[in-house]
Amino acid sequence: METVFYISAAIAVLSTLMVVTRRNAVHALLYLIVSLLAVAVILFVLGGPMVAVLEVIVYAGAIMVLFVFVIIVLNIGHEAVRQERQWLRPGNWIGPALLTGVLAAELVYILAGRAAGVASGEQVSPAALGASLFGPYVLGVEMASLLLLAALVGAYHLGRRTTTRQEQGSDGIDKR
Amino acid sequence: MSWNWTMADAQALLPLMVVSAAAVVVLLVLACCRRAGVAGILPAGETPATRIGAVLTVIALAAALALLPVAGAAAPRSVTFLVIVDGYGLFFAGLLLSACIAVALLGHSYFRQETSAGGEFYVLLLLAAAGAMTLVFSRHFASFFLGLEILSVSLYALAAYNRASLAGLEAGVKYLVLAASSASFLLLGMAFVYAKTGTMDLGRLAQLLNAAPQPALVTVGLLLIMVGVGFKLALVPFHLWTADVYQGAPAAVTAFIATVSKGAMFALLMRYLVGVNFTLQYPLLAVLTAVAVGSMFVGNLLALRQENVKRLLAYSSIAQLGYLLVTLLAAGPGGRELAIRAAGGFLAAYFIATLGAFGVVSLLSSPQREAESFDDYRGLAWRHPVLAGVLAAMLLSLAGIPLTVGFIGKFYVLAAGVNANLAALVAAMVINSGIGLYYYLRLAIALFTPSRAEPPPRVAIHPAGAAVLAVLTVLLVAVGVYPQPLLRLLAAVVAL
Amino acid sequence: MASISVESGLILSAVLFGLGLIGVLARRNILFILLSIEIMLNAAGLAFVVAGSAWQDESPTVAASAAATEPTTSVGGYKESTVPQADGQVMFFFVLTMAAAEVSVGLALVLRMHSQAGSLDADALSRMRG
Repeated sequence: METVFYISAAIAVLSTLMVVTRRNAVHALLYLIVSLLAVAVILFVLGGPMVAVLEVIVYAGAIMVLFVFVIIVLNIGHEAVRQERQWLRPGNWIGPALLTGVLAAELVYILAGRAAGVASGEQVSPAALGASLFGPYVLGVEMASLLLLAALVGAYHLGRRTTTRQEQGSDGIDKR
Repeated sequence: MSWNWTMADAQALLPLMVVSAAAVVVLLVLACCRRAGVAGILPAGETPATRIGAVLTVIALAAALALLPVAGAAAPRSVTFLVIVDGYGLFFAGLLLSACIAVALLGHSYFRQETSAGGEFYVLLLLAAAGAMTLVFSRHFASFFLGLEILSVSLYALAAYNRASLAGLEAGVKYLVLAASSASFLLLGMAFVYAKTGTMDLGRLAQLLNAAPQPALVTVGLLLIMVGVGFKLALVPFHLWTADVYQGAPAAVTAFIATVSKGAMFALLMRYLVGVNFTLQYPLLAVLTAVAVGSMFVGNLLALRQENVKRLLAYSSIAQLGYLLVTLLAAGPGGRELAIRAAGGFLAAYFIATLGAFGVVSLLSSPQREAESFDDYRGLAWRHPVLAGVLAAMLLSLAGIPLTVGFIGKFYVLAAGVNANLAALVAAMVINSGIGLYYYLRLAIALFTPSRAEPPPRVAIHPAGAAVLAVLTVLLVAVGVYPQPLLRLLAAVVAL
Repeated sequence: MASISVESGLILSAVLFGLGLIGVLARRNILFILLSIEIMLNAAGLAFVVAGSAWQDESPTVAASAAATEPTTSVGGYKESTVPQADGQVMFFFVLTMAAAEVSVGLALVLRMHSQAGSLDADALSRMRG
């Protein structure tokens, strides 16, 4: 288990370093996803299966997809085609692929049961986490919902096209 | 593990619940109004919708304010281990809610002609108010940082609210990048402290700090937390964003950032750091002292040569927060009561004067044009004699001239400092009050000197904004001349 | 069982945090700055889980006693939270929420920057000085 932790930690640091130094936003995103996957493995090793899953779903999934979406919206035209050609070159995806491969190997190793248990002590089961969230932390969950509402309203206001009087007729669907 | 709600819990949380619920209600009402406008039931355009939003917002905030004594009947009460409702929190919640009402009315005057503004302003304002109240009532890392984030995320959108303005966009981007970075510092610091102490309870943490010097990891964690706090309070060296954001944001939002956002953060800081025996936590003491002195000097010196009124007020607010920090350092184990009273008095005075000053700026501005250069204010006494008088009074209060509420606040802080034998800090404060006097008077005098340049167009003054300024001015003078009610209130707060 | 020390976990999160900070300070493209902020937030979340794992050993007994007494908590009564280790993961949860909120508003601002300023360079906006 210790080895798994250190290998994942090395991958996380390495890929994060690549994120910070990449020129191309898509490459950086690829490395960031690798880094997040590595952190997810670490979270699992530390006894948090549920947060590990969330790290993959929310961070590597939802949040990164938002970034991809914005990059797509911004790169219309020649530049996108050029970049498309560029990032299909093996030099660009081989790095993330290798690192992910190592993570996959770790995952197989864990799932094969040879490293049963957690590096330090016991796991927090999803049920225990849920009980905590909706037990003593229930006000925190309410506050988190307010936070998301604020983000929703803010993003709606900032992202919506400047409306003219005509457009208001079809308002309500004019957000992105 | 379950939590059983009791009526007393609900009672204590009532003001917070009203504000949060109002945000959702206003959002829904605005959506319906917009639909109705499209269908032709209501007049087209968003102006009637925003008016309804403004009215609902002010009613909700006023209702929350009125419910504070109701919540007070259940105080002091902890609702789960995240939130504590007590006299101290209620006093500051009252201060914040009053400021939010003023901001809502100023915002309504500011956006009067903007048809595309929508009503999101009020939803975001209510959410920000809920975040600020959460901060004031929080007793746990989780509620601390969630409250902070609700406040910050609402403010990103509010700072960039004018969609046509590049300066507003810059303000929003800058505020987002810096607030998010500083929040991650805060979180890392919290994690460090939690790793070493095993507690995320703020009260418990304050006890630990008082008991013994802490290991290095805790000190590092606390300093990282101070980065997040220092950013929110715009203290030196985390002040770099202040002037740009103050200048770029709509004036009403700037008033909010300068008062509610800072006041909520300071109330939280004060609640847990007041009375900590700093002699045991030397690194923290050294940092806080340096930050206080630095904020006073940097803020005042940068304000000296300002030709932009919003930036001048931004730098002045940095210095004012430096003064406020003196109360925190003056507390010590024995001076807790005096320190809280001093901080409460000073903050109330700062709120009145800052809201008033930005209120005048806001009334002279519109989404199309911010009245921010000195030229807009030169000779204001001839164009808008009443506004010029109000602004001058607010500036004199910020400078701490007797017969204004600013004098009471500053006097209190000085008394707390002298009481705690903080000679160096008191000296710095006196010197800086002198520097401050210069630039406050410079602007005040400019109001009464005839303008050489082409005078800016005369703007119509919206009655809602005028009412806010009238109330603030009356408070400014009334409390300045007869401070006893405020002092009694503060004494009652400390007792609870 | 060989265990990972809390120190090494915290060092890892500090290193990731530092890399994110370098990104925020060194990059000029707003998209990269937002990515770096995500790295910093993620590192802070990781630190919470690491910190939580340090405080779990006492959890079975504390959790049991807390579960038994929790519902009766009264005025000002302070209860240690139920399962110490879950606290760190609960905080991770909130950090995750916050990261999502930051990113949605941040990217909305990015879109506006692109359409209004025509550039994603954070310095391009800095026209206001004084």
